[in-house]
Amino acid sequence: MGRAPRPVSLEDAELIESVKAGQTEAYGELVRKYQDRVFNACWRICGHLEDARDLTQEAFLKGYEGLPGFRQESSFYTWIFRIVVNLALSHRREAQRRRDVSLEQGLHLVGSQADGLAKRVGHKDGDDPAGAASEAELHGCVVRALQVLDDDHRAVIVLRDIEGFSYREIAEILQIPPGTVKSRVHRARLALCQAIRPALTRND
Amino acid sequence: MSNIDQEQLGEWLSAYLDGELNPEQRELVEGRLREDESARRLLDELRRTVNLVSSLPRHCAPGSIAEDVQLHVERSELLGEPEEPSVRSGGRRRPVLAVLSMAAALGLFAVGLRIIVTNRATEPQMGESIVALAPDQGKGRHIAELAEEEVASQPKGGPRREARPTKAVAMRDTSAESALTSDQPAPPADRSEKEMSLVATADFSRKIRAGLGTESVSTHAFANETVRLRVVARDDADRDTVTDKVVAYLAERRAADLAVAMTEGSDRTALASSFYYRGDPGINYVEPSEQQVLVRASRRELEGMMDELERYLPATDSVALVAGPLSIHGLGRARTALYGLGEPAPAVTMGRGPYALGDKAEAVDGERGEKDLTSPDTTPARVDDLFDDLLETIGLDPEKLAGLPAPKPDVAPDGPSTSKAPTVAKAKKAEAYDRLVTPATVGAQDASARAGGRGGRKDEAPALEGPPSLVERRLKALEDLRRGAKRPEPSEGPGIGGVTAAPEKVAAVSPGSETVAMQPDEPYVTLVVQVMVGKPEPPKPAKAARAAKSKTKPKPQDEKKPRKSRAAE
Repeated sequence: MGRAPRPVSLEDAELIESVKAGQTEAYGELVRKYQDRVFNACWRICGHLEDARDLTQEAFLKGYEGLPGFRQESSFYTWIFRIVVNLALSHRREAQRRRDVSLEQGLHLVGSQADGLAKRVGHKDGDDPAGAASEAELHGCVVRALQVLDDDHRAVIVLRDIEGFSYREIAEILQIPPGTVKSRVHRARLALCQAIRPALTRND
Repeated sequence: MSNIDQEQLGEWLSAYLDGELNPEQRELVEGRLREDESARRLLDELRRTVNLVSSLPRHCAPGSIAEDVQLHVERSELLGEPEEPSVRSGGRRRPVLAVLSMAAALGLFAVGLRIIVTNRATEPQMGESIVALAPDQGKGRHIAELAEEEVASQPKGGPRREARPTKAVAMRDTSAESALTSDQPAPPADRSEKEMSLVATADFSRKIRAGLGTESVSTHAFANETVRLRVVARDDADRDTVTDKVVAYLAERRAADLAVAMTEGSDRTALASSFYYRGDPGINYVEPSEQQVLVRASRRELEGMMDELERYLPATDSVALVAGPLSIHGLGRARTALYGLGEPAPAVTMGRGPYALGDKAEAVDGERGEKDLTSPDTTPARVDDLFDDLLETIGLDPEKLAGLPAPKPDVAPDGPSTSKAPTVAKAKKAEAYDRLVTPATVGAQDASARAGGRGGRKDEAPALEGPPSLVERRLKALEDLRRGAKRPEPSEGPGIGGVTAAPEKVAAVSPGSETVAMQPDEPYVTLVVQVMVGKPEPPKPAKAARAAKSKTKPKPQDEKKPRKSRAAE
């Protein structure tokens, strides 16, 4: 059950050793190798492309700074992702504090957790015009729903369904028990399900 | 398994989809699926959702990230990274990051200054396309020179350059290029942290100045710079109108070979625009609900346009103008200024966007205690001075702005203010704002208003009769722009310094200077006019109240919830 954390690949290990030996260009290789995944994860977590670019860069800089302490017990990607998620969530909290005040106004979750989450993500259900929803519309619906998910739930969805991490890896990245990962993944999906159900129904 | 509650079943179904169940659990779930139609429906729904999420569009990371990270890393190596930074610094600051941040920040200002420095010692008149990039003295001095002076610690001057560009036409600072090769930073071995910071600053600034083509600098990011003008409007309709006005302005005043793109953010993808200017692709990102107008031009042109645009779009309580250098893909931190916004005083602080109406920028990463940019080692007083320079040179000096006359000549301001408190009565500001958002026909901006020096604001702009859609109007405006159909004659009004344009060359006349030609390969500047909707932020609750609020914020309770069913299982 569950995939074991990926060990550091041989190639990564060599690059990391090179970096530690002072070959800074090797770090550039690592960045190039993982920047797309990091960038997309940042984007989906923080919801803003330009910020994602900055966060990606900042994460790799922090990664470089922390590389001497990296013991290669997990994959480099898992390790860098821990930095990424922390940065992105922190940024998100800060941004939300500034600009998303209205989102939280009048928000009173009732019933089950999933129902509450669904209320948050489903607030635009009625916005779609009648008619079949295209895939693009469904994507738009999913993106909106993702962006109003609770940070913790959005993070697990991004890690699991977009980045394909195993539950154990997610647990390691977020530093929470695997059982918690499992429940968060499901609650988040359930909330997303409820949010996009009308669009899915129209699309059927 | 039959006793399993719905939530437990859901978790197992999700885990089943993910291949995260052990064989025994999988068998139980499959058994349940065989006999329970609702479970099958839920599984199907979960699967479709997962497929949708996993098929969301992906973007490639901007190509400059690796280069920029590499650059920073190399610089930190060059400067000599302390082995135990946290111990050595004796605090939470991390010197290397501080150095990099400071270098990036000061470099950022340098970029901004380089772009838009004008010599305000002689207040340019509207339409003058000014420009002294680095006047010999006063506020326009280039940041790098200041940094170098301090680094050198050679009061008698070290090799201060005598030949400084005096006009913005010096697009390529060749003297700085030679400085780059002849004045490399000294080895850091014996230098204090402060000295290293300054070395970094000087080095970074020198590279930027010289830059433009040196191999060790991310040339694209530095050679072709970006500045932004952000307008925060009250609602969607206002935003649309403001965007119209910007487009109208450009349609009237641009040079023929400006590349202009206009786009709207969408919910689905934030990738905004991609356009080409002299074969060089430009990409910018737009937030949902945001609109952008992007212009590429030579610095000279842009300087004039920034100046005009800021007058064209009045600063009122309801419209925030944020002008400053965009991230140069450095640490993504730009110092910007916010004005108006109904705040009792204009906010001129450090931070990074996006900002909402009513926001004041705050220290970057304040929550994480990484106020590197304001570290004492970065000589904040000097940084402040430089930033004040920046504000002043782009005409957004807080005091000036606070005392800015209402946009209409017959609306008298309350008079210039020496304090930073707004001096224009609220009603007048509201009136000014209403004028701003009065629908105006694209291209029909009042020439007489322009002649009055206020960039075509027109109170009597007729309401549109059966107006074409915004898209139609904008397309028409852009079409006009491409044709150059509405190019004003130099004598018509305060255009961009009497710019004349040709397909491959843009000639500009600076006051008292000769005509210069922009070469096809000359670096350009991108102006991003961001028009977005902001909502006034409610008064910020006290810290305790915020804390209480955050406690009431619904949080998942999955970790805490008793798992009776699981226990039973």
